[in-house]
Amino acid sequence: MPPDNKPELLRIENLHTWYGESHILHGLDLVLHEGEVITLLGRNGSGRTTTLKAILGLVGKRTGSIRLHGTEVIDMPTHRIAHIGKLGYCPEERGIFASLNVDENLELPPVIAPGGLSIAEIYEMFPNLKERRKSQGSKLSGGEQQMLAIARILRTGATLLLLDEITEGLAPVILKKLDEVIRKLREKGFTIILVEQNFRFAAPLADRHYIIEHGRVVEQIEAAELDSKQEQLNRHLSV
Amino acid sequence: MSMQVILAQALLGLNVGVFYAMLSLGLAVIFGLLNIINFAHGAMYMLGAFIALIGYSLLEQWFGISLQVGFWGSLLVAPLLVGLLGILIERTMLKRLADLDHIYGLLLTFGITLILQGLFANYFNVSGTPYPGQPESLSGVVNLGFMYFPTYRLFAIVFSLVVCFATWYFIEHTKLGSRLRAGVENPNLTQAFGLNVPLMVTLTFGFGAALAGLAGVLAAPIYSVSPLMGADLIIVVFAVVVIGGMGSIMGAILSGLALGLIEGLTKVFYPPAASTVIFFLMVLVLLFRPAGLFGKEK
Repeated sequence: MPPDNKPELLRIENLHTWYGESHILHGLDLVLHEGEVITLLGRNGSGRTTTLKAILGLVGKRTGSIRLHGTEVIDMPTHRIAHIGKLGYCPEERGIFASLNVDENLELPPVIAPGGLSIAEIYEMFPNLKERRKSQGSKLSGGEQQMLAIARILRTGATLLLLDEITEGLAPVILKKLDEVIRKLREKGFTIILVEQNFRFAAPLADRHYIIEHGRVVEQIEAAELDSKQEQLNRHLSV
Repeated sequence: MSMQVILAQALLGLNVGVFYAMLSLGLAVIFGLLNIINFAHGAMYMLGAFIALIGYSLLEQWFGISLQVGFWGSLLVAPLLVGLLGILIERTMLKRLADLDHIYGLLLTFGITLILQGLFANYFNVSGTPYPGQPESLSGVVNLGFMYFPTYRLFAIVFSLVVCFATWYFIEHTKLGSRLRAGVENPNLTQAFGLNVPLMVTLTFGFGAALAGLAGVLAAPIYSVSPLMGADLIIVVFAVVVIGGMGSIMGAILSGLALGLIEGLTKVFYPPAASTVIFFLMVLVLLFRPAGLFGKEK
């Protein structure tokens, strides 16, 4: 159950978004409390990635309401939203800057709030990145890029992490590492939205699952209800 | 032909080269970070020189202010004013063209160039006015061992080199520079991290324009100040940028210096080709390395 005593970090109401002419989200609602881990599940093109981008103001046009820590951000420019929401964003394509090395990539996002992990703590969590500190972003393997994409938003003091398809195309050994990382972040009190294709990866990590179809939430399943609602889940997620 | 003549021409060539380098550096910074082909760069250079001239000899005559801005003052004031003009142009005009093809930015800046040139041609002699404000401390000649070289020109070379390499260092090796580069590579994500990319873009354009203004002040004591001084130079500078590779910072600096040298030496060995050698090289580079000597293929 959502921890009612915890403050609300994010409230999305009746969110509509457009890319040019195409209408992607059709009245999406979502509420997230501090310390929760939720997933956005659904088929390709259902609007999960767009939901994350809409929170950050990276879509063409958006209407409705998005409140971060109680502040309405629907009309704000992207660069301010990160500060207000203490957001850390890990995009689907990972967004490692090819022209910067590992250290530069790590230090690129500005500190938006106190309390971020130190470089030493980050390298402790991701020892293989430490060995590649001076490598250009373009020289890293897929797994290393993914680690770096997560690592660099932990330094900034972000408390709400938006992680888009972090397991996509990665080997089982890396998935295990990512699982470990998400659990550790959860323990440290981070609030996390996972957009996941890999349900088996996401299921044991999340408090709640949102199933998104045609740009709106069609089902909301608490972690405890997973077994009893298996059938709905299968119906919505099977291709 | 004596070694002395060759060395002398090489140094004079280098003197031209530092101006190429400074101007093509500004163009490369603006193109690399903003994707704008700034045709008005030559006009900004001209403006820098005129600010120096007006500040030195015309403030009282024109505005009744009994104030004289000397060379050193101009070295500070002119880039500042030209940079501000650049910021104004970016904020009010170029910003609106950001999502369109390069050609629109080029046409707009070309129009701005014609307006600025026309404006100055209306008040000043098109064939040039000498700048009388060269400081006493930089007059005379220095004995370099193998030749006597004008002190001011030596100063211009050293000063420009320092500015060029400082700019390169700033962009390639500082934190702010890495943010600029990130903003170029992926503006959306950079903004999502909370960095104000539109502001960075505006300031970068202002900085590029300021570099041109600075080059204009440095050029004023050497060349005569004329409304067309930028137009004459900008075509060559564009060729330099193409040879160096669009958007490459170090490429712009090194090819500016090298091409100045080559032009200077061509004056010794085959004078008739001196004014075309750069364009000949540009054709060769475009044929065999279309992305430029230091540019990366996209």
